[in-house]
Amino acid sequence: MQFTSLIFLFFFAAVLLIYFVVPRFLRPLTLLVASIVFYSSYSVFFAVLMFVTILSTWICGNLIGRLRSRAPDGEQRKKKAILAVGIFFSLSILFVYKYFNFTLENVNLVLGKLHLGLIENRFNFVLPMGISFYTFQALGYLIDVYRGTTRAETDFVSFALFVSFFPQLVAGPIERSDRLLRQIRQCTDTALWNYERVAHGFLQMLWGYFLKMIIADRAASVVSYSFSRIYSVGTVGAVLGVVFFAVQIYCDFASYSTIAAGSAKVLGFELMDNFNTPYFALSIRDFWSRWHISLSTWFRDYLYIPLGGNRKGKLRKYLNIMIVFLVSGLWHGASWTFILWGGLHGAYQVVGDVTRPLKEKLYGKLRVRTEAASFKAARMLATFLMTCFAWIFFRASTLNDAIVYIGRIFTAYDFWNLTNGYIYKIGLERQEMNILLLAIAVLLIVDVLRYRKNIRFENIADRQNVWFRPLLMLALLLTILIFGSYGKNFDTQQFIYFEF
Amino acid sequence: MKKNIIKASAFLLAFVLSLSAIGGILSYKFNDSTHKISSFYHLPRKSLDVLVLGTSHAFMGVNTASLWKNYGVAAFSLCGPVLPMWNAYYYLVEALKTQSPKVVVLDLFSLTQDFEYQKEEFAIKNTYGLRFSLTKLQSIKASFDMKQKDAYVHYFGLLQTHSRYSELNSVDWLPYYADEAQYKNFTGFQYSLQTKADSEPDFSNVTGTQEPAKKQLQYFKKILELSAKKKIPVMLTMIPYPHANANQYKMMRYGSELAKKEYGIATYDYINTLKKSVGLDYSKDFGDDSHLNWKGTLKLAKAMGKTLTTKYNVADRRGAKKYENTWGQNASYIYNFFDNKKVPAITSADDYVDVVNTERYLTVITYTLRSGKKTPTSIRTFLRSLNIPKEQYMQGGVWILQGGAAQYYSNDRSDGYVKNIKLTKRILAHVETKPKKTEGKTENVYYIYYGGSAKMPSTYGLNIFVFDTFNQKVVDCVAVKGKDDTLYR
Repeated sequence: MQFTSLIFLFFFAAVLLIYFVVPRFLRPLTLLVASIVFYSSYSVFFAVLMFVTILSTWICGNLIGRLRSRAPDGEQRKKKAILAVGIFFSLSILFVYKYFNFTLENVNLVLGKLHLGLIENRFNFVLPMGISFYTFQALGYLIDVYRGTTRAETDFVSFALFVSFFPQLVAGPIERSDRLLRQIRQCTDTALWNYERVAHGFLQMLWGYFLKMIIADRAASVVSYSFSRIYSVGTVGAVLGVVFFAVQIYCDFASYSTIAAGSAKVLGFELMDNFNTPYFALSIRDFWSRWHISLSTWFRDYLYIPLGGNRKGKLRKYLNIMIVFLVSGLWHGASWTFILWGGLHGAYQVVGDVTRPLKEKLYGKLRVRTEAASFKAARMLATFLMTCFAWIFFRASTLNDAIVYIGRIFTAYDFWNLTNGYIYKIGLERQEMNILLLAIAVLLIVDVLRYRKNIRFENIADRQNVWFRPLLMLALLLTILIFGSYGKNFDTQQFIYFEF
Repeated sequence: MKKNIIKASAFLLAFVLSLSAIGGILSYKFNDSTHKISSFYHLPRKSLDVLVLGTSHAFMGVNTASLWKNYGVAAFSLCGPVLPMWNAYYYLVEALKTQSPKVVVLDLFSLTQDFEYQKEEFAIKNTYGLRFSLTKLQSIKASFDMKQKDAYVHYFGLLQTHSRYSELNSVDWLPYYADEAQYKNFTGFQYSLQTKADSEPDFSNVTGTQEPAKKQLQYFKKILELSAKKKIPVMLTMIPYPHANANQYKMMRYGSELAKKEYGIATYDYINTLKKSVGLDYSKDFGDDSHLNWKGTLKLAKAMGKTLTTKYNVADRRGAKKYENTWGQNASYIYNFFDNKKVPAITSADDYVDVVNTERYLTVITYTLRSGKKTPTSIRTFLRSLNIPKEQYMQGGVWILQGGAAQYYSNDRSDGYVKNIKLTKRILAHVETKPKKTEGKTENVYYIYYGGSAKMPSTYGLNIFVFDTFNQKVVDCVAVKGKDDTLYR
């Protein structure tokens, strides 16, 4: 049940209707049932698997919670052991379904080099949708309970809903117990009907659909065109391919988070912000404070800081950064391309940090005005280009493909294609490309508003006349209905992050 | 709360209205299907006397214009390409919401089609034109295999047609598919101008029957039952089709016998038993492999008109304003169309005088006289026949005539626009002069412009542009060069 499918819209309408009329005490159960129905629409087995994670985490959480209430500062070993069991259990499922095939492939690669017998893969595990997301959400909760920053949830329905909440179940944002779980606990007390909140929620959802169905799915055609012709694409085509991939992945992923946040808002829940104008970042570090915020903060809080963060010297800090980003790469997918993508981002940051004094010295000597808009723009551009370079590894099917693709950028010069209308021949017809470019311009305006004035899309109409918001909603709705890539004449794309 | 409900309702209303407008623009438009049902909705309520249901054999065979002109029968061909019985049934259900036909004419050819579901392109044609209603949803359900992936989109046409934004043109945006004259009073009949010689099938020895496909038969019965329930007589037909085979004929006979036995309904078998009453010449009366041409439809209409008026007592509505405004206008359009076709065949200026004098024609004549030359006799004779004064035709100029009566004259040959001519509400032509260098001399020459291009077969001499103001179409554009009486095109 994709967010972009008609069936989801009917499902959401039905859930809303039921949720708004059931007695308050039934609200969490209603949403839990809806979440199970939603996830089971992909696969009942996946739902069972998720239930196992939920149950194990809930039991471990409560065991730690009991120990904590008995001896708040004592029995650390026991608590740690239960935490370890809980983490091991959840990660084991994740490992088996996400990394087993990859590990075996690499083990066989090594065995092959050593001329030893290969291990036969008797299990061809299919990756359950969103397993990385809900596993991390559950783990975050368990660690929070262990740390004592959140109390163990004794009500199984509330906890199961926290892990499986359908708007953000499949592709995040990865919520924290102190936010979503708290709201679930309070949802039986809050008033549901709030016109402003509901209107904001719907507007946010529409913006998400715009990002996905107008921009991301169209950009995907250009990206597929370039990345499926790695041996023939020229510099211009390859650069356009990766730039449009930057647009595609941003709009694709941000759209899911936006629709999730919007639908949650309609239901009365506030989800965390997952994207904040990432391509306006001034450095890679800044980029990661704006891109997939729920994951980067998760890694910061549950991996980087426990590893020692920046408290144990520079070398250790750099090592920790590299570990975090390599793991982040691996989280995105069981493939060397993702690991290298993560590694690149880690390396960017380490190199950036190491060379910072040198750069500052150089700016001082050259009297560069670092506060000037032109300097900021140059930094933004440099950051964007570095991000794009890393995206090549993210998008390419294999490491070899990525290297060939980079090679094409730097060797297959075809600058004449900049001026001869080539852009209209790379996967999209002229009219479709014009729609895409126009929509990207709209996105740019919305992101500039967010970046400069901190106005979120759903709040754009707040200070306008009363007719502006319905007009905006109507315009968006009709734009999506007419120009959206859906139906038989379009190759509708699945959300990219579903695969993670 | 009350305020919020009003706001939400206003929003919903605006959304539905926008959706309906956009849905209309983006909807598929096919002259062999959606145009028909959409024109059907424009008929005055309770005006229709004869509702014709069937495939293209029916909508290209039953000449509603001739039925009107010769018998005053108000008939409408609510047909579609390869129309199966289930679509015919839902068309009937839809038609009965606004009309009370005195007779339903149902062509039996639909029974010969052996499929559970039509090809999607045809199913779309035969369902999408219906207005959104339960009937439409039922027709879609019967027409598309809902087990197919994404078949549900057909319930909401916009989900299928939204991507048409890249192919929109004037037909999508303007009322009556940008051809008001043809489609404002369209009664569903489409004609063929071609002739394809074929041989006549012989079913004189075929006596047996063959059971048609179950679903076709099921809906055939539903049509007969609904008609019986509404007390509307049904006239079953077998419209001539050169490539009909014995099996198809047997299936039609099956339907015919069933209707006769169970409902007492008569069949008019123009393929076999009644073929003499039509008198078709299969070598001349068909436009292609499957359909009668104009000549053939006139013959069939004669036979059908007689039957409808004598056996079914369908009234002669000629003279009644309500009917003239629809069927009269439609018949005029179609007969004018065939009259107009004769004009380009005229080769002499002398014979063209009658054309210019035709009441519904607006004629633009430009006469560029070369300096130092006199008006040649042939041009002088032609213009004099149109009662154009000597002082005008001796110096040339621009004339606009309606039905032969001069409406405008100018001999202005200075550079630029001479006259804008409003042919219809939307269609314009204009005359302008431009310098032209001939034999070393430059002088201004009249140009007639229509649809963005010059309509000027000759630089000098007479250029005559004829426009039918009733049918809103260009009829002809000729020149008289002056050497003789010959027309140049």
